[in-house]
Amino acid sequence: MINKSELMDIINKSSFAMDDARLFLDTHPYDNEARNYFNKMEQIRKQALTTYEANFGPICAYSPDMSNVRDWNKGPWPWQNGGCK
Amino acid sequence: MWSYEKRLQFPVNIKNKDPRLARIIISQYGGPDGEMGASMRYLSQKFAFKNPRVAGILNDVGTEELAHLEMVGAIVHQLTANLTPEEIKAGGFEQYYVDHTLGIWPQAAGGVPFNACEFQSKGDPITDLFENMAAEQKARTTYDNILRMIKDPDVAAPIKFLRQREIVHFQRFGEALRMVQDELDSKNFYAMNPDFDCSNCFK
Repeated sequence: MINKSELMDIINKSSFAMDDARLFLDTHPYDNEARNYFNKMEQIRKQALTTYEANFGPICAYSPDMSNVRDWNKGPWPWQNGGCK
Repeated sequence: MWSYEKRLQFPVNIKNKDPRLARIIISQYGGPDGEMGASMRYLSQKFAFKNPRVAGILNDVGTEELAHLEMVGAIVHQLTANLTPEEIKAGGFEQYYVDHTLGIWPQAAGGVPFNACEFQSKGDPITDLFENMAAEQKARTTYDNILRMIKDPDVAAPIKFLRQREIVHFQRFGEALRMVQDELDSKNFYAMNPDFDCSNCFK
């Protein structure tokens, strides 16, 4: 059973790991450990994102699969209470 | 350009309304050390930076600040969503309410509107990076001040996240300043604008 909020949690955490590692790599571009960490988080995010979008509608405006584009404007939005789950 | 993702950088799910707290937290939306100033500061400064790696840091941090702006807006919105007129009065929210109802508008806690004079874009990388480091610390101090007023863990968690990001950004800007200075003749660090008076300041 695919759990929507668990998938969103994985997407948020892996995306944040990428955000933080991206800034670190901006000032340490030759750090291999950071680069490997970034790539690992990117794989985790990609897998969770693909599963989430296929089952619960789009998260990214330019997702490779926008066949469910009609769900883009469907609530709740992330800033609305409960929209982050 | 930017591309929206339908999620917050860190989730905001607040169960209990608190208009009094919202009046304080709105300062990090449009106040002197808020996320609107932060995002506009870095995303405006980037154009004049000649070192592409340093310009990229401004772009990436500025992009993250836009996500923080959305988070602070979400916190204020959820703290004030569906307030009744009685709750507005009891929570001291009537002065904000009369102009904005329950909409989100960039202002400081004291009611002063957002103003671009809260940040600079000086066209000098050393000047701008020193401003950015100070800005991150001022925002960190503001988040510390806010945290002392919070008991609700639903509100404290995203505010603590935002506070931690100020510290990381300070570190990255410090490294960016070093990247700029590493290209310069140390005698001239603070004597001229390396991206304007270029002839004799580089090594």
